[in-house]
Amino acid sequence: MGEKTDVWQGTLALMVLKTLETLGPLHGYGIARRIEQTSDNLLSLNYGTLYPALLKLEQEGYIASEWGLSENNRKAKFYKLTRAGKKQLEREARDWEQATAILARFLTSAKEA
Amino acid sequence: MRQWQAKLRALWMRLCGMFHRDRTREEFAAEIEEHLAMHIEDNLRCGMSFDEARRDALIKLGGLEQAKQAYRERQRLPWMESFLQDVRFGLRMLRKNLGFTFIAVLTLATGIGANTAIFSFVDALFLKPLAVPHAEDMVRIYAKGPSGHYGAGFSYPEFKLLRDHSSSFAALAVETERPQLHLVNGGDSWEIRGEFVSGNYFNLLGMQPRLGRGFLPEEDTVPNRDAVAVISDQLWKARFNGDPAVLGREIQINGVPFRVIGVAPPEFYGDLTGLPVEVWIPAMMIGAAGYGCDDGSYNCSLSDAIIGRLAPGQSAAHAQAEASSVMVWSATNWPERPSRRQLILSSANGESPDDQADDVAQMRLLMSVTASLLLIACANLAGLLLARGVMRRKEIAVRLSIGARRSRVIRQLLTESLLLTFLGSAFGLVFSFAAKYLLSQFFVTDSEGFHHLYDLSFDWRVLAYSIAITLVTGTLFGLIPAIRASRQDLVTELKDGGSNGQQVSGWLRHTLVIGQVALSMVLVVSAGLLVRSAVAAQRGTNFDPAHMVVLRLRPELTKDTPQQVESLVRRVSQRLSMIPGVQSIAFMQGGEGLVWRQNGRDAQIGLPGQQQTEPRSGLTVLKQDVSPNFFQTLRIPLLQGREFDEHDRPDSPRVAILNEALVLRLWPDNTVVGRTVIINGQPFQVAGVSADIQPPNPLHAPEPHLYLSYWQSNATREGDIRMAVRVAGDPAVALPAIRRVVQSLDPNVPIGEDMSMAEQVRLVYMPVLLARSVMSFCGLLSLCLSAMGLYSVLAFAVRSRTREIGIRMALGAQPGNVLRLIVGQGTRLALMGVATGLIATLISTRLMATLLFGVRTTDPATYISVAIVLLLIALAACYLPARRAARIDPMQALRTE
Repeated sequence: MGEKTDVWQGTLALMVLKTLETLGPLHGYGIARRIEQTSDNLLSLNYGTLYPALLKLEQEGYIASEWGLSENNRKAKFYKLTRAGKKQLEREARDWEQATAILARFLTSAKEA
Repeated sequence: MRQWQAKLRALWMRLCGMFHRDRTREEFAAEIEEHLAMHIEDNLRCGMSFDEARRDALIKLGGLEQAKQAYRERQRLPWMESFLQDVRFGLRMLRKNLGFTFIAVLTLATGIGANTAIFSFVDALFLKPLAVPHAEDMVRIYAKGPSGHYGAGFSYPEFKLLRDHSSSFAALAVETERPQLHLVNGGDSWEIRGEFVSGNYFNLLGMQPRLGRGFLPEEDTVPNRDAVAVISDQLWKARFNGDPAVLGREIQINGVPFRVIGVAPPEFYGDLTGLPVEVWIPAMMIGAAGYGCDDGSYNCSLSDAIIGRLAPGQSAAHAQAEASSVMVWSATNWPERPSRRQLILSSANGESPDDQADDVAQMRLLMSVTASLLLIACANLAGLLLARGVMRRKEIAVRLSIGARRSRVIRQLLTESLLLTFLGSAFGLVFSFAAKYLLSQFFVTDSEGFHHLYDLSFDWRVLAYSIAITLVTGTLFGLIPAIRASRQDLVTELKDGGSNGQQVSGWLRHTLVIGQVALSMVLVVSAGLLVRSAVAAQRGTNFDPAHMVVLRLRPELTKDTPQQVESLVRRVSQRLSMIPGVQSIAFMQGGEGLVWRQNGRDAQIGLPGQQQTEPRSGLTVLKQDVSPNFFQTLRIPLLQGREFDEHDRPDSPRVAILNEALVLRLWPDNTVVGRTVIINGQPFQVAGVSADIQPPNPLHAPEPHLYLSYWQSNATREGDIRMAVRVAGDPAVALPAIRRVVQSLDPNVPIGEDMSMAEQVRLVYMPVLLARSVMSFCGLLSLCLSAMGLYSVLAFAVRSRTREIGIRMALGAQPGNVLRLIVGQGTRLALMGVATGLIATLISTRLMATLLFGVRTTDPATYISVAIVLLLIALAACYLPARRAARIDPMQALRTE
C-alpha cells in the first residue's frame, strides 16, 4: 500500500506540473479533470490524493497558490508553476523519458533474445 | 542539489505549519468545498440528479475525512507533534513526582558531569588540535629510538635532508623544548620554558606576533650568530609590564644576551600540549644557550621533533611513506647513528607520544571509574522506573486498550526518561565545570616546579560526548522499564488492579540492586586501597619528606670554572646552616633526578680482578655525588658503616656508599664495609650501606644505586645542584628566607624547583593522588546510590505486599516476624551484591597495581572492612521500610486495595 502510493505520487507530481505548464494557473478540480481527460480516462484518479500532492509541491516551492475566481465565478484556489517548478518539470520529464526508454529497449531486446 | 534544497524548504514549511493550524484547516475546508461544488455543478450539467451528482463527487474524492487526514499529515510533521505531546506529558509527570525527579536529576547530573569532566581532560590531552589556522594539516615527525621512545631526535643534517627531499610537506620546522632556560632582565631572574625553532616556525603555524615580528629565514642559518627571541604574551605582561618598549631590549638567556624582536599573541602558548612556552629562539642559537653538542657540531640530536604542515591534498599516510623513504638510517648513511631508528609521523594534536603513554593508562582508569558510577546511577534509576511502571500499570493499560500501539507507549515512556537525562545532563554540565576546575589543580605544576597548562575549554567534542552519553544513559535505564511496562495482559490488569505485576519485574529489580551493590563494592575497595597507597607514598619509604625544603641551583650557567661553582655551593651551604630553624643541609648532583629519588648518571661498577679482563663484567648503575650529612638530612637509614663527612676529600682514600639492592647484587653475604669496588675503572672503598628508597612505580624492585662524595669526586661540576634543607617548623615559612640567602650570595644564580619536599612528593605521585580523589568521590556517591536503590526496592516491596503482610499479622505474625521478613530480604540482596562485588573487585583492582604503594591489590583488611560497611549501610537502608511493615494495621491493610 505504502509503496504503491509513493510511486503514484511521484508520477502524480509530474502530471500536475505538466498540466500547469500547458494550461497555466488552474484550481485543484481543474487539474484533476485534466489529468483524467489526458489519460483518456484510463487513470482513475482519487481526487482526494491530489491535494496532499499539491501541498507537497507547494512546500517544495515548485508551485505557488493564490485565491481567485473560477470561470463560473466561484472562489477557488489557483495553482501556478514557479520558476523552480519549471526546472523541476524539465528534470523529471527527462528522467522519466530516460527511464521509459531504457525499459523499452530492455523489453524489446528481451523479446528478440 | 536543487532537490535537496526543495526537501529542506518543505521540511521548514511543515515545521512552520505546526504553528498556524486553524487558519490552514479552514482554508483547506473551503478549498474542498469549492472542489465539491464545481464537481457537482459539472455532474448536474451532465444530467445527473443532485443526489447522484453529490454522491459521485464524494466517491471521486475518495472519502472526505481521509483526504483531510492526508492533507493534515502532509501539512505538518506528525512525528514531531507526537513527540512534543510526549514531552509535554513527560514534563507534567516529572512535575507531579518532584521527589523522584529531584533525585533522578541529581544522580544523573553527578554521573554525567563526572564523565564529561574526565572527558574534557581526554580531549585536552589527546584530541584537541593546535590552536592555529588549518590545524588539521599539522603533523609531527618523531625519531623512534631502539628503546621505544619517540624522543630520539633529529640532527640538523637529518632535518635538512627531510626538508629538501620530500614533497609531501608545505613546510617543516625543528622544535626543541627546554623547560629550564634562565632569563635575566635587569636585576630580576627566572626560569622559563623555551623552545628552539626553525626560522620559518611562525609562518608555518600561521601565527602573527602581536608586537614586532617573527624570525626571518636567514636568522636560522649560521650557528650562534642571530641572538634574537620572541617572548610569550604571558611573559611580556608578567615580567615586562606589557611595555611595548620591550622590542629591541636586551635580555640574558643562560648568560647569553638576546634581543627581543616580537611578542606572541595572547592565546598562543606554543604547539606543545600542556607545556606553555615563554620564549622562542632560533634553532641555530641552541649552542649559545648551553644545549649544543659536546663537540660543537650540529650533528647530535638537536631537535626533539619536527613539526610540519602537509602540502595541500597530501595524506598523512603518504607523507609518512615518503619521509621514511627519504630518511633511512643505516650504518653507511649515518655512521654516527649506531642505534636502530624509525621515523614516525603523527598528528600534531595532543601530547607527544611519550607523554601520552602514561596519561592514557591514567585516563583509562579514571574513565572506567566515572563510567561505573554512571552505570550504578542507571541501574538505580532503572529500578525506580520499574517500580513506577508497576504503579502506572493502570494508566498504561487504559492507553493500550483505547488503541495506543505498544511502540507508541514505549516511545512515550522513553521520552520521559530522556527528558530526565537531559535535565540531568544540563545540571551535569555545571557540575563538570566545577569538577574540571578541581581536577585541573592536579596538573598545574610538575615535581620540578615547571608550569603546565592544558586547554580544558568546552568544545564540540566535549559537547558531542556529553550528548552521546546522555542519549545512551537515557536509553539504558529507560528502555527496559518501558518495554516491561508496555507488556501486559489488559484484561487482568483492568479487572483487578494489577496486584500480580510486581512479581514479574521483581527479579529484574533485585538483579539491578545486586549489581549496584557489587559495583560500589568495586569502587569503594579501590578507593580504600588508593587512600592507603596515597598515605604510604606521601610518607616516604626510607626517607622522610616532612619538614624539608628542596631547591635546585644551576650555578654552571653563570659560573665559568668548576672552582667558582664549588665555592658558591660551599658558601650557600654554610650560610644556609646559619639560618635559625635550619637543622641540617644536604645536596646532591647527578643527572636529572630529584634529591630524594635514586636517579643520576650511569657508572660502571665491578669487583677487583674482574675489570681488566672483561670490560663489560661490571654492572651499570646510577650514581649521585652527595654532600656530607646527606643520609642524615633525608633520614635515609644507613644499614652499615658511616656516611660521607668533611674528611672525604680528593686526597683521602676514595670511598663509596652502596644501597642495599646493589650490595645484594655484588655480595650475597653481609660484611661489606671496608671492601673494595671498582667504579669507572678506579678502586673505591665501601664506607657504608644505605637502605633502598621507594621506587617511582610500586611494581618495580629497588634499583642498585651508588653514592659518591661530592667533595671527593673530581666531576666536572656540571649539572644541577639539588639541595635539601631540614627545618624545625613549617617548610613553607622557611622557604622565602632560604631563597633570600641564596640570592644574597649570588643574585644571578638560577633557583628553581623551590618547594617543600612533601609538596614535591605529592607532585611525583600525582597519578596516585588524582586516582584516589576521583575514586573516593565516586565510591562515596556509589555507596549513597546503592543504599537508595536497596531502600527503594524494599519500600516498594512493603507497599505492594501490604495485603499479604496484613493477612500474616491477622493470622498471628508478630511485628518482630515481619521486621525479620523485610530485613532478611534486604540483607540477602546486599550479601549477594557483596559476594559478586568481591569477585569483580579481585579482578579489577589488578588494573591499579601500578598505583598501589605499601598495599597489595588483595589487601584483606580493606576488603573485609568495606564489606562490613556495605552490609551496615544495607541494614540501615532496610530499617525504615521494615519498621513501616511492622506497623501495618491488619484491619486497614485488608480493607485497602
